[in-house]
Amino acid sequence: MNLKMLKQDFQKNPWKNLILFLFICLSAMIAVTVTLTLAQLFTSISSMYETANPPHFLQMHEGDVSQDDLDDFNSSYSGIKHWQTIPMINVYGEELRISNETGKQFTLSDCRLDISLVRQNDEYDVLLDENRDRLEMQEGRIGVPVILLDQFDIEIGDTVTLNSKGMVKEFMVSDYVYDGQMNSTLCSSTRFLISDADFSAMSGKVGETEYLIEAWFADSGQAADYQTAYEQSDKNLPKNGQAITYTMIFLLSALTDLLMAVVFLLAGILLMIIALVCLRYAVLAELEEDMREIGTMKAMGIPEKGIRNLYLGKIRVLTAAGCGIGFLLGFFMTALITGHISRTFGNQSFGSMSICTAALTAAAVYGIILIFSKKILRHLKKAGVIDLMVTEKGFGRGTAAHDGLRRSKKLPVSLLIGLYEVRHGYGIVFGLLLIVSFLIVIPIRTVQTMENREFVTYMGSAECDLLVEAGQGENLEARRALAEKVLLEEAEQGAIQNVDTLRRVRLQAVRSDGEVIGIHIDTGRSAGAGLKYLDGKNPASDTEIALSYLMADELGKSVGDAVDILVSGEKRRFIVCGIYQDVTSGGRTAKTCSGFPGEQAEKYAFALTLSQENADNLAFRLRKKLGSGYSIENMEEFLGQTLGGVTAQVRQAERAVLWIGICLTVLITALFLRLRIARHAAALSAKKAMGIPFAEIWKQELYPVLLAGGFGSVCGIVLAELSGDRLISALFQMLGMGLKRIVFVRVSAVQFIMIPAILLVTLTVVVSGVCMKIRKMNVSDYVNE
Amino acid sequence: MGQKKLEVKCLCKNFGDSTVLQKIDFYVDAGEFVAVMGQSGCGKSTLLYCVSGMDRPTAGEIYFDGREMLSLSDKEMEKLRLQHMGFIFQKANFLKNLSIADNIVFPAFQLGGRDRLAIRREAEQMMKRLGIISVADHDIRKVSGGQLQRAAICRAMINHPDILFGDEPTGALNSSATQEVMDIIGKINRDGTTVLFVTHDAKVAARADRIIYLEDGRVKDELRLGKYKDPERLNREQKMQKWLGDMKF
Repeated sequence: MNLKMLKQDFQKNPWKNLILFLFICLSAMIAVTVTLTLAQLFTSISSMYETANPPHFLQMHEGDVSQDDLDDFNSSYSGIKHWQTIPMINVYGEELRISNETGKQFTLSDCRLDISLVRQNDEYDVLLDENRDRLEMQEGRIGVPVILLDQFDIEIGDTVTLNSKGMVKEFMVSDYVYDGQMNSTLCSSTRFLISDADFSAMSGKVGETEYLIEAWFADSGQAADYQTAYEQSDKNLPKNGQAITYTMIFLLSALTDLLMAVVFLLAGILLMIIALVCLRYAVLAELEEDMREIGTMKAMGIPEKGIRNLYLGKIRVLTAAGCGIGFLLGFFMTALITGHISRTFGNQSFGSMSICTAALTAAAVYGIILIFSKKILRHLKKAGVIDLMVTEKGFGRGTAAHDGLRRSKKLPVSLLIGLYEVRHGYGIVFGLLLIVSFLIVIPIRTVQTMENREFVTYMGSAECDLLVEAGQGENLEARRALAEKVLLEEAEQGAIQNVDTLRRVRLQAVRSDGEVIGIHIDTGRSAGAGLKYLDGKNPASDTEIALSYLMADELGKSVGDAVDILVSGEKRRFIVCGIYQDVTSGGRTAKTCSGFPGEQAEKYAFALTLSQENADNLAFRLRKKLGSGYSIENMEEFLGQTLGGVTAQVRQAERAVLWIGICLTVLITALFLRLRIARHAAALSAKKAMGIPFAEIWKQELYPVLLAGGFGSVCGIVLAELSGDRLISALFQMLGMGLKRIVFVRVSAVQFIMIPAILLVTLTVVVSGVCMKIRKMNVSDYVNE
Repeated sequence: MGQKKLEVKCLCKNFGDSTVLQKIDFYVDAGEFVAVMGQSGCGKSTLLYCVSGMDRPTAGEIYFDGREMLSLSDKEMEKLRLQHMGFIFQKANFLKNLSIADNIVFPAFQLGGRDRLAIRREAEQMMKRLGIISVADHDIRKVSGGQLQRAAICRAMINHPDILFGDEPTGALNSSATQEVMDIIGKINRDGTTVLFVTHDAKVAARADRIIYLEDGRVKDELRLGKYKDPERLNREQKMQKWLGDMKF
């Protein structure tokens, strides 16, 4: 019977049912897509980690390694399962040239990541191919990290020529490398795989050697305690470099796709809300349309539950079909948006667990819609037979009429009618445009903020025109001296107005509970100046120190507290003067004006403020004068290379949300107007009969939609502007990325006009389209109904 | 015989294969009150919608004040209806979100060309005359059917139409409300407005100067009663009954 009723209802109201079906279908599809994406992401990472076995603890180190001390320390540490020390040959991007027979030729000088050549490991920290099989390199072959493919056009069969320290060696690209631990542009390094023979032949002759000290535990959660014990150990353990634990490796790997999934999750939740609002509107409209029939059934003594089931049956069929098709579409959608996951972690088919979870998600959508529908149908209880059949009061949704038209003196009648009508049932258009605008604005503003040069202040750096870095490697002090000399020359020639030099050292800080942890400290005259502080200010004296938010959290310190830093075994007391945000170096850094001359530097950074000089020209000159071993970038390049992957994903989400938003606007507004026309057919026909011109009727339908939609859109933008950065901040904070409070960059108000403008044009087109139904309406069919 | 306000020649209307009106010829003089009667489905309402320009006939000619109506564009037809024609339906079909008074002034405001204050005063005068001033600012859902229909007459007359069309204007009213509404329509006609309406109520039709009887989409006969005078009501009604009997109504 339900099927028969549904069929008849479909014939009577095809558009309404189709649009409702589409919404249910889209909601289910997005819910299933989010579930499958998350399942795919975690399964891919887990599956990759099963073979790749990335370390639970990783310490990078430059310089000699005392393997005996390391073995002693690890042997006595309970819970450790395995440890190994991996040598890597670090080369500069300029030293690697990619070429092929078609004439393609470029170096990797633009690569911000530190490049290392490594050989394959046996069981732990294994580099894989796209099918997650262990890669074996033959002599003369090289495996290229897959994450470089977003930036560089490197194909299988290309030639990689290494030219370092007078040695020239050619490799043929035979594979793309899927790296379990260095698979994000947020990491600082990337690894190329070569054969054992090539590695042995080049070791010590090209580049510089760096070591990865890696450890595995029975439980990866032990890594944090191990790190503390490692850093506190009085043995001569290698510590000259960054240390990182499994949690951070996992997080850095998943961040880009997690962000994408979160954006889809939010979109899915909002779509579901919209679907429920639509359902509510459609059901209530249907009840009003069927008022007399419902009254008759009530008069005949049919119980409320029986009447309710008539409507519920139709919703059940519609929802089941929508959820079923949404479930299937979810698989196609997931395949479309998980390209990045496949590219980063290798191919992964849907497992039975993923399919079951997705089916449960679709079932949950079905359940939610049904529970909500039952709640809406409670309106049936509210109206008695008299309300339905005699007074036609209906289900009590009517609001008081306006009595102002006759008192107006000048305003156009259609505008006045629009102003009155907008207060009656246009909440759905207001809410829709509010949500859609909010959803569109958030990713746009996030990308704008992340691409703005000010964003470097969230990365522990002050804004500048050009950033020159001399990173880890041999002859760091010599490279520093050369850079200072060249920069001084440029300053004398008037190209550079100011140079702020930061020297990074790695020391140990004492936590509130007495434990010691490693800390990267940037020192220099202007260290910490120009950053945005969550609390406090930049250090002004030698006894002040500013801490990154994660470091302050870990040390248990806030502004005004004293913190002890171990310098050559002696405690030196600093006062915390400020807390800032930093996503670099695992988010655990500090800034102070005090120098630590006795400590070996990790890195030098020169932040240049230019006078009239063009940053690109100067960068070109500096590259020529300084040669290899430096990274020279303007702020945009620095941001692009570090966060390029994340911003690209958010940008993709931004485009998707814009199109989804426009489609939602079209679908919901069309549904709303069609139902409205059906409900007000008699009054609209009377207008036609009276001779009210169609253009005026169109305006009377258009104005309330534009008023409600425009107001909703403005409210959505204002809401996004007021709360969007907090939402994004909460997301970053939840991810433990060292960011706690991001403030959207200021942009011209003109940029905001585009969104309501696009949506209002869309609404106008929809109203015009739907109003054609009014034009075709036969007056005699409605006036005496 | 006065000047012809409305003249219909050889009017036909088909809906698909079904013929509803067949070669209808009739006229309505200026100031005349004409009722159209007939069995359900005989084409009364279709005829009304065609001659008032709401529906396009399949064939034939319609002249309003001597002007061929069917050659008018949709826009011109709308303007003609708004300026020169008034309509009353079985149900008032008011805009739900406007008060009674606002619904009445709406077509006049929409037409424009007159001072809005003057329109408002005129609407209030009309409402006073029709005894509905007390519900002027009421919600349309909170007044009786008779009051609504009187308000619909005010709305129909606010632009001073030359002709008033009615499609079963008393069809949803009780007998006392029917009397009141017909008294008002009679008064409007006596004041010079031409009236053409369809009805199946013999007592209502007895108020008309002339009655046209439709059968199977054709004009079967017409009865001329002359101007209505209340003392003659019973005579007119008896004459009507007899005539309708001959028509097998």
